[in-house]
Amino acid sequence: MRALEQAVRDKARELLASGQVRQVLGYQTGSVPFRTAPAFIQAPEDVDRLVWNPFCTNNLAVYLPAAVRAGGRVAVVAKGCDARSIVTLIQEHQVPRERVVILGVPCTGMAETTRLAGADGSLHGIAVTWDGDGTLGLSDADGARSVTVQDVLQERCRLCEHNTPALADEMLGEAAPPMPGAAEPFAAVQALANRPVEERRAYWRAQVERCIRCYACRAACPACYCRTCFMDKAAPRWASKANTADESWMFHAGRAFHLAGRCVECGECERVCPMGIPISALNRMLDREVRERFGYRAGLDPESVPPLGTFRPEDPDPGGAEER
Amino acid sequence: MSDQYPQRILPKAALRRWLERLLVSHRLVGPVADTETVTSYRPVGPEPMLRLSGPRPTVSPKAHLLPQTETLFTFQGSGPALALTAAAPDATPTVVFGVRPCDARALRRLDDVFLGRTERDVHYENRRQATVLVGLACATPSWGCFCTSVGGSPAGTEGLDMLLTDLGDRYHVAVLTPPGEELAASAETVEATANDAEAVRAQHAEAAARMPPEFELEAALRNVRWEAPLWAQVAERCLACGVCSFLCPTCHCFDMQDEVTPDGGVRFRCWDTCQFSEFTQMGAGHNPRPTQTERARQRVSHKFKYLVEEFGRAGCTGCGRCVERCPVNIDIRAILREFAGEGQ
Repeated sequence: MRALEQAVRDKARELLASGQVRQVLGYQTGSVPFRTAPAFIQAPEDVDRLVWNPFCTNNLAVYLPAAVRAGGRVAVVAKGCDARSIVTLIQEHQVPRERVVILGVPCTGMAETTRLAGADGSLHGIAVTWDGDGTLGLSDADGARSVTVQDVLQERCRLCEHNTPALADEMLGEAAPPMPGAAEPFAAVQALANRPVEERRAYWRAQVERCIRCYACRAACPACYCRTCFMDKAAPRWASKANTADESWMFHAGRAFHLAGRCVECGECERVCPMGIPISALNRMLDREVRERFGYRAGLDPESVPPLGTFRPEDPDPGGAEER
Repeated sequence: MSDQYPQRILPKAALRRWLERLLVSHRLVGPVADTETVTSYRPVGPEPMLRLSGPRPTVSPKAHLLPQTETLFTFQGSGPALALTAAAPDATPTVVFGVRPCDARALRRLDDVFLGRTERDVHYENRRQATVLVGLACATPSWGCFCTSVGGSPAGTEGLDMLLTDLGDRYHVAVLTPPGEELAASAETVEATANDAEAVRAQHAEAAARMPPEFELEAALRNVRWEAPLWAQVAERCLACGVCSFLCPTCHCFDMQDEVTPDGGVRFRCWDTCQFSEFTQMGAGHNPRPTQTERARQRVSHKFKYLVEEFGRAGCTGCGRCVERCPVNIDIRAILREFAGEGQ
């Protein structure tokens, strides 16, 4: 995969030097060895800042609408999930197709950094090396050890069904093998759904009670691009700024409904939540509904029409008279 | 460490009984496990299950002094018949247990803001005076921690009423204030030996040695300035969420809202952050901080320039929560390193 990093840099250099794009969105070395940071590269001489490794966890599509509004064409280093988000943005007319160059990278999954911690539960002072393939070398106060990326895979990556981008203008590298949990992406949410309704109500209430309304989930979500979120609307105010469990539940439920048939399960909402709220379980439940009822998966085909963007008289009517 | 009070030892087996005694007379707030990786300070009941080991909790105890949502007054009727009822200040005797030194110092910074100006905040003041802070020295830094870079220490005592140090099967108890002394009286402690004192010194030194200062604070404070090109670079990446502010133990800005019903209503305040675009949005539409660049400048300048000018102390105690939880790896340490390096 070192070759992949070189391919990203070469392609970025070519696109910038030839003036085909104004900017390349990618990943650069972060402030610690187990994080990368989003990179905004505009000069060909800066492309060597771009990296590719098992910590390229952010969904960069979140930056795309603003980057395109700033002018010119923009290239994006896109994993499978990022590419699906870009497709959604194109479908929803947030990004003109001709203004984005998708640099597809086949993804074998990102590492869950908390699982790299030593015996004391801390990542303080840890040194991380990557062999360019599937193994991470770790060194801290507990000594040196190694883990495979597959052993410390993020759950959202383990369940990923589209780790090779469905749409790319330039495919950098060969298609990646399927992820281990891809055959059963709904197993965990089904287990949750099988619990009695009162138990589920109590479970979700306990989850949303922790919400501190920092809106990191919303900010990190490429599909949450409303200029003014319903939660922020001041006149009239739809939601109270008082942080109660009821209001937080309205936020999370409202957001989940807005994302039905649009969410690509990139899981950024859940990754960035400081309170550990299992936000993507809500999205995954609705994704399953959309798949079963409308035979549709978000973010695979820019020419398709999302179910919630159209109406047909023969559409199923979930919760409607015939189902009651 | 204060020599005013005798150093004590609390066997861990006696901790539960002490907490149960405190519960009789106080509201007890301590670090509890929300999930495997999330720890918050929450009120605890008769069987307190506290997460006292490992790095500092995910969330600071700030909300117990400055609640996220707090009623200021209610009102009934309208026009000349309008009647206001001020919310009664909350002065419930409270013990916040297991407070880390960075978070205790942070409450001193909140004291500056809410008690150190002409007008004292009555709600904050009542809660603060009714609260005793039982500290816990940090043995394990978290990866974003930088307390020693901003004048703190993993075993610092500023703002605390007592400091516990985990010595394996027992806690060393350093009493620091009269309220701390009163609290310690209900614990089954024995006098600390010279060996205990030595073990505490060694542990504090070891923890401090794991955290070398990362930048020259004074140099950084001198160079934080309005025109810095850095603000736009930070803003380019910033997603404008409120994670940094809401987890920050010193961020204290709030909004005030009226919620009106046909018969009356309520005015409350709630946490807000300069990182949200609507924070400075005026009623008529003008926004004096129109882009994230101005908002990035505001948050850093408030902590490292404006509060320094007003109170002589930076509004940051190096807890590192903003560092760790920023979705896009904006690292305040890197920003301060850059400012510190500019003057050299």
